[in-house]
Amino acid sequence: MTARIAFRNLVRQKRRYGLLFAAIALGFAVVTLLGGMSGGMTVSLRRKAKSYYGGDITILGHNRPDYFLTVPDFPAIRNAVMELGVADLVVPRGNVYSGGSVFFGGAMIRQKRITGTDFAVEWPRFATMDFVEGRPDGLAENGGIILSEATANRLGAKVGDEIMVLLTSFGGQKNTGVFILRGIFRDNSLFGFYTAYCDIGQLTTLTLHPTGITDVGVWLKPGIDPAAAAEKVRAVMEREGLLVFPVIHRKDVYDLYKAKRDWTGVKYAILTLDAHLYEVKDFLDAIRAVTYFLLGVFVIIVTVGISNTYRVVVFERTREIGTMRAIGIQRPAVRAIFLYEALGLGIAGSIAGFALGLAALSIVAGIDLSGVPGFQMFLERNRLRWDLEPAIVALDAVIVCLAAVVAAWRPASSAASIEPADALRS
Amino acid sequence: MKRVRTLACLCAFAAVQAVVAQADFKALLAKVDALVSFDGDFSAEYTVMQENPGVGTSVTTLAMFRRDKASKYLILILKPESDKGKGYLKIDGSLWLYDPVGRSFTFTSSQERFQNSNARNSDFTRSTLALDYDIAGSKREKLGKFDCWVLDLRANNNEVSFPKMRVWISDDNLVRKSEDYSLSGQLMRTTAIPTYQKVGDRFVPVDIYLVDALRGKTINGKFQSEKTKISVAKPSLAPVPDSVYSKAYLEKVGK
Repeated sequence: MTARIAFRNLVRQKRRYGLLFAAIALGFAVVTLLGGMSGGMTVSLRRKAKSYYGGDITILGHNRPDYFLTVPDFPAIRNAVMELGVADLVVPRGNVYSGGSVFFGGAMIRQKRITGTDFAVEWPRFATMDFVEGRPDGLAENGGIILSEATANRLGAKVGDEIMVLLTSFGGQKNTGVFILRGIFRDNSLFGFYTAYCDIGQLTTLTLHPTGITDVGVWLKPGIDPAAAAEKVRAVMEREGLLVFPVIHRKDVYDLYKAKRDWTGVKYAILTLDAHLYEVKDFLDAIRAVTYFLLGVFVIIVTVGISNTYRVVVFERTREIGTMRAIGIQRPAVRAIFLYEALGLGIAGSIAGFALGLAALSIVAGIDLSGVPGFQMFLERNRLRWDLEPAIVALDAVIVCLAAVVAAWRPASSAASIEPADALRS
Repeated sequence: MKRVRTLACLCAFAAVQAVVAQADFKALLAKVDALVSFDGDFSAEYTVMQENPGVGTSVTTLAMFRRDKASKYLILILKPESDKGKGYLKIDGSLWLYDPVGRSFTFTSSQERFQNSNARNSDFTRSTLALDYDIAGSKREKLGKFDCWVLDLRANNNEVSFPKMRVWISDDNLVRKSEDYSLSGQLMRTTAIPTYQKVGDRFVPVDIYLVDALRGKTINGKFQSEKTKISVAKPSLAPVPDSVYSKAYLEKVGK
């Protein structure tokens, strides 16, 4: 009954509540837009980073006293991690971190990283990359190399062409090999722009690395917490008798561990994806902080706006309140009418704001943002994808509705305390 | 049994021959190195002409100061104006690159390209073939008007620019041609030194021609390699002050 009266009041007094409704809708739209954008940026970044680093967790073997990266215990590590039941895949990676170049038709492009991987196992993960030419599924049988679109364009190379790879071997000498170009992927971020992927066996014949493996990539099953899984991986590796650093969640901590140089043989570092993305994560966290700051400002505005509006409303509707009280409506019911009105305003504003935010996200997602400097790492097919977590949207809506109810509480209480006789005399 | 003994004798003889040949060719390489190295200071003006097909030709002029005995050298770029004052300094086993704009020194390697040409920084230092390479094969061959020993060399350390080389050494103990290879045997670069000039009792190339086997451009359906010509002029054996082989000198002249 009270809810119905409240709803009728809201509809009847469209003009009075229109401005408040618009403010709530606009604020909620901005929060939705920013939340969707930062969510999408995070998802895009993590997806690219996963291909680059080899999954959700990376295990790097540090050899001393002759310092180099190597994983001599790959079979033991793979078996132990797979037995944990948290991983879908455990893959070997052989990375050439610097000094690698690719040649075609007389043109040369330096690569930031040439990654050797076991395509027979890992190719389905590469299938999620944005391939503009060729596919990675043939790599397992045929070997070869996949290059970024930027590199392939500058070389003038197409799928099927012979690409010469020049790198510095493990012994420090220049070595070359010919790879068939099997695929060209689009990734203008720092994870893809100058990155090439090829068969780990073929790469090892050039690097002459003692094990051919520098890292191990662990792809976790969906829903598994990477931090908790990393701790389990560490425990199981220690049980295998391997030397392991504590799990690393920050890159600067990793540097500190490496600098200690207090071990002989191979000591393993287990890094979560967050550790690799530490610097970028700060940027994303900052966007999220701005979103929450805006949500906070917006909640304050809504609270103050609703509170002030309801004071005026209560004053103007004193006679109406008196009439309601005179015909027997009790104080709690009067208060409830006003609170329902505020709640309705919050719900309607949130729904409208959410719709507005979604529309804005769709428009932004349609814009080619490849020209925006430094933004490429967050783009997919040159566009920003958006990602909204339903729980977060629901939480935002609950906060807005609660703010509306809290703001209306005092005016509603004073309305409920009005004596019918006094009200009718006014 | 007799056959086995004969075979063993033949093998032993071949092994001894190989060791003797190795020693002979090492001695030949040592002679080659000695003929183009200097006991005192050496200085000259080098002109590096880089030809990039489809792009154009650039010219870099530099002053070279070498003190081979102490493994020191200093290269000061004189032209073009945009690179004037840049310098390379090899002292205490380290090679520094000086940038006068940022007034900063950065480590570089002798294996790196010199000013994005087809020359390596190591091409400007003294020859150390005997020290850095072992002989993997040899044959006689005529190269134009020169009767040459052709030696296949394998690097015995990781400091050299190329792990494999084939050198043509004329009977006057001067390198006339060389081919640089990667570890897997890919030709990387060809060098030709047709003429030398005599400085004291040693020799300095007049021109060095470098042809990159990998870098170039296909123009009108024909692959044209990047080429570099290094000309050496005004060679001198006059003593150079110690202060020239210092960072302070580069900073001073770079101002």
